[in-house]
Amino acid sequence: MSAAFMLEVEEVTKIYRLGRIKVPALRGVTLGIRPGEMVAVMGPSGSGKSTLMNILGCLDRPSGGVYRLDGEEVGKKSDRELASIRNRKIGFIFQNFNLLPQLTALENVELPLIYRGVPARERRRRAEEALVRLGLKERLRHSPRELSGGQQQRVAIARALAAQPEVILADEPTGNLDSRAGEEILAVFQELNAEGITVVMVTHDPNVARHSERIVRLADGRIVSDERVLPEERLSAQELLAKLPGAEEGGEEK
Amino acid sequence: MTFLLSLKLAWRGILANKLRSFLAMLGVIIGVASVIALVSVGQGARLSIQRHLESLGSNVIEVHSQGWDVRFTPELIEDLKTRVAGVKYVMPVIGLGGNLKWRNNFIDTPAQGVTQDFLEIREFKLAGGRNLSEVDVRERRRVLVIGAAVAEQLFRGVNPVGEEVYFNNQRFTVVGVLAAKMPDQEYGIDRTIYLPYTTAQRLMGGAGRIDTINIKAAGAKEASQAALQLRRIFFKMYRRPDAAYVMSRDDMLKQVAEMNRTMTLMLAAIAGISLLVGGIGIMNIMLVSVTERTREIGIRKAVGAQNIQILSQFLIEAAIISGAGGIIGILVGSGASLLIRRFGPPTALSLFSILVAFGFALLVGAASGVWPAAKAAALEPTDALR
Repeated sequence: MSAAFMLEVEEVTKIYRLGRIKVPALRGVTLGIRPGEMVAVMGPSGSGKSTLMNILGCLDRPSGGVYRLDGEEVGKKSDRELASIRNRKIGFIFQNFNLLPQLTALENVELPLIYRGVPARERRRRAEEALVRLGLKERLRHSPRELSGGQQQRVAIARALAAQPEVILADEPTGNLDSRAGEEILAVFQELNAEGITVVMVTHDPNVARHSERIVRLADGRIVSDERVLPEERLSAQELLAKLPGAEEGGEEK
Repeated sequence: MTFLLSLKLAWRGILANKLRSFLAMLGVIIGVASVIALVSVGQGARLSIQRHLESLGSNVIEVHSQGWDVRFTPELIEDLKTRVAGVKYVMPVIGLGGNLKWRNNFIDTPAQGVTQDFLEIREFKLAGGRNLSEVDVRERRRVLVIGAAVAEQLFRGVNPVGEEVYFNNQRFTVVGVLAAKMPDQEYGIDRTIYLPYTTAQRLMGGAGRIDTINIKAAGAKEASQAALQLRRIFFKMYRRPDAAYVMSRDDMLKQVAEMNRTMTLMLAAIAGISLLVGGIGIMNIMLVSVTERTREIGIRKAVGAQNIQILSQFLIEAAIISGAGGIIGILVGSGASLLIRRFGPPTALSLFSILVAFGFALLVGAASGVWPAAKAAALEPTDALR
C-alpha cells in the first residue's frame, strides 16, 4: 500500500524549541501523496503548512513519526544523503524565489547540476533548455535584479526543472506576484503536472488552491480536511490567462 | 563540484565586496611585504659584512689592544713571528684618517700605517707603481700606496704614481696604486690609503701607538691554532682575558653566520606574528561573510549542496584572499627592498624568504577560513532560509 505513495508521512510531529519553551508546529500529520498528483496545502499562518513542506522537501527532519519518500524512510538518512535527495528528487520553489543575486539566470539554473557534478557543457545545455522552456530565452545572462518577480520565479522553476525532479514543492509560489504573473506560474505547474511530475504547493489563497486536484487543510498542526477538487470546479490557468486583459502570455511587468 | 567552479564562485564573492576583501588582504599584504623587505635588509647587511671580512684576506688574525697598558712594540711583533707556530706574516697596524689633497682636489680618507707585508696579508694586487718597501718602513719615508677608489676620485684619470700629495698637510709621494677589489662598495677598502707604520707614528707624535696586529697564518687550521696560542700569550702577559682581542677572520665569518641564523629566526617570529594578525583579519571577514550570506548558504543547500561543498567554497575564498594578499605582498615587499637599496643600506632579496612568507600566508589564510567555513557548512537549511 505504502509503496503506491510518492510522499508519505505517518503521525509526523515537529517541535521547535524557543529557548526553554517547546512550540509544537505539527502534532501528528498523516498524509499520502501519489505520483502525478497535484496537491494544495492550505491553512492559516502558524498552522504548520510550511513546516510540513520543509519536512517533505528534506530541508528539515521530523521530531517524531515516519516520512517515506518513494518508499524510503527519510528519517534514517544522513545529511549527505538528504542533500543528494534534495538535489535529485525534489525541486523547491519559494515565495521569495531564493535566487543567488551575484549569479546570472543561467548560472542560477546550473546550480543544482553543479552540485551533482554534471559536466559543464551538459550542464549549460540543460539549463538553457529549461530557461527557454519557461520563456526566458532573452534573459539568460541577466542577473535576478534585472528581472521582474514573475521572471525570477520562472528562473526558480527552471532551476528546479533542470535537475529533472520527481516532485516539485512550492511554498506560496505566487505570494509575491501580481495576479497575471501568478497565473502564469500556476500554468507552468499544471503543465508540468500533466507531464507526470508530482506537485505540492502551499497557499492560503483558495483560488490558487483550486488549480490543484486535491486540497489538504491544516490547522494547529493537524489535518482538518482532505478533499478532492471536483473536475468542474478545478481552475485551468491557461483558460484564465486567455481571459485576462493586457499583455500576451509571458508578458513582463518591467 | 569542480575546483575551477569553486574558484570562480569564490572570486565572484570577493569582487562583490572589493573594499572589504582588500581590507582583509591588507594584514597579509603587510605581513608578507614586511617579511620580504626586512629579510632583504638583513641579507644585504650580512652579505656586505661577509664581503668585508673576506676582503681582509684568508687565514688572517687581528689582534686589538684593549687598554692603555697594552702596548704592541716592534720587539713584541718580532717575537711573535718566532713564538707562534704556523705564521707567515706578522704586521703592526696603526689606524688613522685624514684629509688627502692633490692640487685643488681633496678627499677625506681612512689610512693605515702598515709594513710592506700588507699586500700579501690583505691579498691586494698592484695596478701601478710599487709596494711599500722595508727601507720605506725603516727610514720612515713619506710614501703612500693608495686604493683604487682614491686614485679614481682624487686624480680623475691622471696617473697618480710619482705625484706629490698632502696628507693632513704633510707632503707625501704616491708610489703605488692598488687594483680594485670591491668595486661595488662605496666605503670599502678601495677607499683606504696605506703608509709605513713608522711614518704614521711620527705623524701622530705621542699618540702613534700600534693598536692592532695583523697575522697571516699558513692555512685555516694553523690560523685557528694560532688564535688560541695568541690568546694564551696575551693572557700570560697581562693576567686578564680582555687585554687583547684576538679575532680570526674565520671565527668572524662563523659569528656572522650565527648572527644571521638568529636574525632569521627573529624575522620568522615577526613574520609569524604579523601573518597571524593577518589571519585573524581574514577570519573576522569570513565570519561576517558567513553571517551575511546565510540565505545564500540556505539556497545552496536547498538545491542539494553537500556540507563539504559549502565548506570548500568558503575555504577556497579564504585561500584566494590570502593568496592574492600574498602576491601583492611579494610585489610591495620587493619594491620596498629595491627602494631601500636605492636610498639606504644594501639589500638582497631572498627567494627563500619570499617562498616561506607566501606559503605561510596561504596556510594561515586557509586555517583561518576553517572555522567560518565549518560554521557555514553546519547551518541547517531551514534556519538558513528563514
